[in-house]
Amino acid sequence: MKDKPRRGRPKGATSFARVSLQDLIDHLGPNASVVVGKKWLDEIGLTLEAPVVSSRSIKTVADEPKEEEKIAFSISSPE
Amino acid sequence: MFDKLIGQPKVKSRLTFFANAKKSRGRIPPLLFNGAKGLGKTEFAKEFAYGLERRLMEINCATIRNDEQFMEQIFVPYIHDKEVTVLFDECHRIPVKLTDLFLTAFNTDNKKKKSVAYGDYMLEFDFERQTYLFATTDMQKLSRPFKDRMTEINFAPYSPEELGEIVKLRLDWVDFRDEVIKDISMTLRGNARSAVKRAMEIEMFCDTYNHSHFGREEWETLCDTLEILPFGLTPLEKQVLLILKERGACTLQTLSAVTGMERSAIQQEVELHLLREGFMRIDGKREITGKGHKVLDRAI
Repeated sequence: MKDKPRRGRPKGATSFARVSLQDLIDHLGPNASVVVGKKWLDEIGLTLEAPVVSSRSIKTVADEPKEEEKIAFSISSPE
Repeated sequence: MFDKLIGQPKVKSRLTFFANAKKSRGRIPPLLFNGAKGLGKTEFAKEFAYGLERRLMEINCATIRNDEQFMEQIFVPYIHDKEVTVLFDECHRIPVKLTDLFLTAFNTDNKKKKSVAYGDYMLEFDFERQTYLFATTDMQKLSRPFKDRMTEINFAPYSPEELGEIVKLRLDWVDFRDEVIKDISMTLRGNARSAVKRAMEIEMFCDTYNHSHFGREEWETLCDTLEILPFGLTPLEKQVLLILKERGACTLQTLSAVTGMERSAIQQEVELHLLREGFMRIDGKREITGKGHKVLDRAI
């Protein structure tokens, strides 16, 4: 009987890698935005802020005034 | 009242009747102008309004999205409390909710004013100060109650003589020779707008070649240049007649395959004129008639 193909993460494989903060700064610059785990943020005592940039973008699009549709008409007068 | 306009004697007499009746009765019922494109509905509406010494407001109903937009952009600023004649062109495109409002406003009672509740407002239709005209090319698209509230004014195709008069009136400085005006009018398909367009083409021709006369030779040159075909055939109609002549009786499917046109486009854009003029008949299949053969011989 054949073995069933195994599913899931192989034993010992990980999703994370360790990297020094300085290496990241050197590579991305001090103002870069990076993705980190929320749980890790909690562990180091940082509170999560709302993503300011994206919310502003959504607000801008939502608040953009729609171009008013005009009814086409003409007015003519007797000479 | 309609001194400047040629043809449509029945339309003229009915509109003159309503204009005279207004003097004694104070109001004109909403009128519905019915007829194909280019028969002069707008021109007659203009002259009618001017005869009443009023401005004409012409609204393209295809651009009305909803009743609210109509009230804000048109009724309140330009109609309410104003003296005006309003023409709703292509009125079969009026949104349903606005049609419902008009049904209330144009009830067939004989009142000179009618107040209609609309949201928080009370709209006043003053029929002594306002006249409402509606025009359509698609009568069958109007609802029965809406049509019932209107008085129909039907526009008929123009005769070749009337079309010739329209061309000559536009070009009163041109000397038409060799009875060419008859040939010109035969290409206009009963349509006044086509007559006006043809007059413009002749004017351009005369301006370009510095002519003050227009005879057979000039007409043939213009026909060659602009591909004006006998009896006002379009190139597509000529193509269909040619197919029917060469292949014999054809199905609509065959015509569609050979011309590359949709079946509905052939029916609406090509066959209508050919059938009306008796150039083609449908007896199961499409066939060219004797008259169609003669026209085609002249067109080739």
